[in-house]
Amino acid sequence: MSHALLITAKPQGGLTFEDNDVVEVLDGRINPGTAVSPTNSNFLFCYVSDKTVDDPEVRQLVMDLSELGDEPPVTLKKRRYQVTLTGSEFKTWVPEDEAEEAGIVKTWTEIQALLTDKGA
Amino acid sequence: MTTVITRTVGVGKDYATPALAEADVEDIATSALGGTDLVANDGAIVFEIDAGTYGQLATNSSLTSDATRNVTYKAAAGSEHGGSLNKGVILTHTGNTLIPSDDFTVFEDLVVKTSHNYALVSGANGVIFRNLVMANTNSHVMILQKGTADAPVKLENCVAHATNGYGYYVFGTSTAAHVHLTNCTSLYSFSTYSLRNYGGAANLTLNNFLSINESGGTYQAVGSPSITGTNNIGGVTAALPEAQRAGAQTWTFTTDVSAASTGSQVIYNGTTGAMAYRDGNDAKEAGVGPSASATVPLTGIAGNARSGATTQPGAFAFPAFENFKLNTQQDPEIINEFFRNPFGYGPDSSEVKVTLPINCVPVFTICGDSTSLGQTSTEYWTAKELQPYVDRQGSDWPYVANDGSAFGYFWNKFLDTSGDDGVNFTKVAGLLTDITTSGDAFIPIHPRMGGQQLAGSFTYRIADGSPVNDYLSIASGAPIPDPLANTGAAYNGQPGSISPVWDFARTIKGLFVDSAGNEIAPYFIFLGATGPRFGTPGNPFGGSTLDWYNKRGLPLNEDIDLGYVHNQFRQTYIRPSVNYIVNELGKNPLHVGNLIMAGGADGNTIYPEEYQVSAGAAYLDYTNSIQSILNLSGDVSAATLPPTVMYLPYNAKPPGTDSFPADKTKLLQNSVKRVWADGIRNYVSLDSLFMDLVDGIHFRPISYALYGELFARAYTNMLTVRNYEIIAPTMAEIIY
Repeated sequence: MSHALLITAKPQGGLTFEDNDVVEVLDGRINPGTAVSPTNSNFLFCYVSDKTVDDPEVRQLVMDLSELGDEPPVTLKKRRYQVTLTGSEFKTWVPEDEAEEAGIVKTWTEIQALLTDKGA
Repeated sequence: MTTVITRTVGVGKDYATPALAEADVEDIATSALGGTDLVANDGAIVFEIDAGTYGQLATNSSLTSDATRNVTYKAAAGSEHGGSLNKGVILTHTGNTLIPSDDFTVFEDLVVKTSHNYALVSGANGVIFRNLVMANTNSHVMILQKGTADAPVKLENCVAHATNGYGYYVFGTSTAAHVHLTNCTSLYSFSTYSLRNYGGAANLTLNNFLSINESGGTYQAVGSPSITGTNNIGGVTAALPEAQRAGAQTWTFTTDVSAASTGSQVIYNGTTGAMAYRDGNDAKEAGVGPSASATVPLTGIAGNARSGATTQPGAFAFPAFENFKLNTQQDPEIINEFFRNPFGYGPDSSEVKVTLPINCVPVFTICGDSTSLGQTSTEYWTAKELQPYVDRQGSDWPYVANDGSAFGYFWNKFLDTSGDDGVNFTKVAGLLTDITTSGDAFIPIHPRMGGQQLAGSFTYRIADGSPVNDYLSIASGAPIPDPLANTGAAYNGQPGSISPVWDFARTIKGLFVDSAGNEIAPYFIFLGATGPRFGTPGNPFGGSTLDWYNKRGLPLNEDIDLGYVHNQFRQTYIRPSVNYIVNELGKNPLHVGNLIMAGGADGNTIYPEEYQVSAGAAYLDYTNSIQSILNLSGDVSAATLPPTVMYLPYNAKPPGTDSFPADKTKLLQNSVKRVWADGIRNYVSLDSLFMDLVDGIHFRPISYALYGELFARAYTNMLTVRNYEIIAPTMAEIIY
């Protein structure tokens, strides 16, 4: 079973997302891309040791923040959730089997402690 | 000149997903173009996305764009969906899936799905959605906001699959909406409306729209919105304003491809929303064409070209149903070489190519007897006999069932392969006699397509690289003398029989290519039966005779024109399979060849004396009959006769009998030779093959490889002629 790979927006990185937004969640076996994986890219990386990419809690991290019940729908924020990853180790993507050694693996409980809900 | 920066999306590409690509778009603009103002820097960014399933894509950046200096998200070449909801680049999300907020962004050849809110929420000016297939099983498919008179929101060749909400929802209240829908389709809006135009500031321009509603409404206007445009198809419930209707009328809808014309009927494909190419479809040309309106897209959603003053409304366009010249030696280099040395050798026929236009499918029709099924006595179902056949094929031999797609496809009426991906096959007599079944798809060709002779079940089960011993369940060194009797799970299945149709397909592999040089695998419409005849009625079968006979008024044939097999071939093979290519695949079926792997039974004296005489005219009756249902002229006009190959009736010698007398066979051979070597028709001799010495009628397994190869050489040799045309006629004008 592969772990979920969280990819967040590096603060002041110049992405179209807000700092620390969860931009994407991938299957841990997937390379995020040659423009994404370099250490000097605008992304941060963290594997979740006890979740897969299909777990509903993980999928929830890439939901937008919308006004409910309105017509037309209004998207207030591209992402509702932020995960703040501090430490230079999260700037470097490594394959899943090297992630533990690189120190970029966290449990879901640890991720929850870093979570900010903009809709709260 | 605008600088275009291209980035790739997919596994192993620049970005794994569209969301990651969009997140980085400002950085791309800054690093590659010098800043985020695409207009000032005269630059554009294109993301080419590989086929796959991805999540939400929301565009919301600080880029400055205009109609040409903008950002495009499109399927990479070869990753297009072709109009399908389940192929290509698929965006799906548990919420709003595609949310463009950046002006002038272009989205092309994408599938956008959701089962929650909206598949598409558009909220920007000048955005273009081209060739999108969208679906929502829960609520409205899309909502279209904003756009200005100068920079409207444009949708071209889009399809909305709406099962529980509006297909297209234009919203303009406090903020004006300017939306242009051109050649778009809405499919199945049962409980609501295909199209909702909402608000006094909503401005909709609607052209060539196809609203398919068998029970729901077509159009709802709320709050006095504006609507203009022409040539739109919709139903009677909540009809479009009269000025917008095609033919100033409302239309009815059916998926019944045999429905007769009513003057206001649309026949459509319930899966894709494409119109059917049928006489009963009155709306085939109800749209305004690109020569009359510059806003009409020059191609449809699946890549077929539009031209002329009229066209099919909706997202799809019919392919060009035209004949095509198959001559392989028209290449200028070959012709130049001929004038340099007219006595020199031309290229080997096995090396030539036929380059087909876009969206053409090469189709062979094959009528066969038991030899076309590869029938041989079970005494030859041994490793000693079969291993040389397998070895001869090298890497072409498919060890896994259903992996012969590189070589071709065949219509699945012939064999029942339900549910197990072509591993287990059943060919029961009912498949021949039951005219209520007709197959539903083309499946990959393979050596065992002949099945276990006329009827029975067999298993295509052989491990990769296994010797044929394993296949015959004799790997342990203890041969099972009768594999037919051992079909349990512990065994590897029955060998069935090896069809020379497979060897024909193997030999011509690579003959047909597209303009980029990619091989196009041919499609085979193939029916083989045991002992059928051409010139005379044969064995009683199914209320008629088991043959390709084609005369009215003789015993067993008083009420129909055709022998049972022949009739079956036309009714339950050719007609449905051609319909499938035209109206499911949306392609032009080119009749590239007609193979007759039958005729030997005409020399058999077991049939009534008065019917024993056969002649070449009977073979022409067969080809003329095929031509007639294709609505093409027959042998009197070679202009529409595809290249045709048959075998010379051969000298069968059943032990202990004289049921195939040599003088009758000689007579048959002469009749074939006299009419069957005119450059468009060719024949092969099978008399040099190794005979099945047990029954004296069929061939040993290794010979079936040569049988198919001989047909292939005779076929490709005809294509090399330069002084007259070899034509593959379109089968699209078939009479249903």
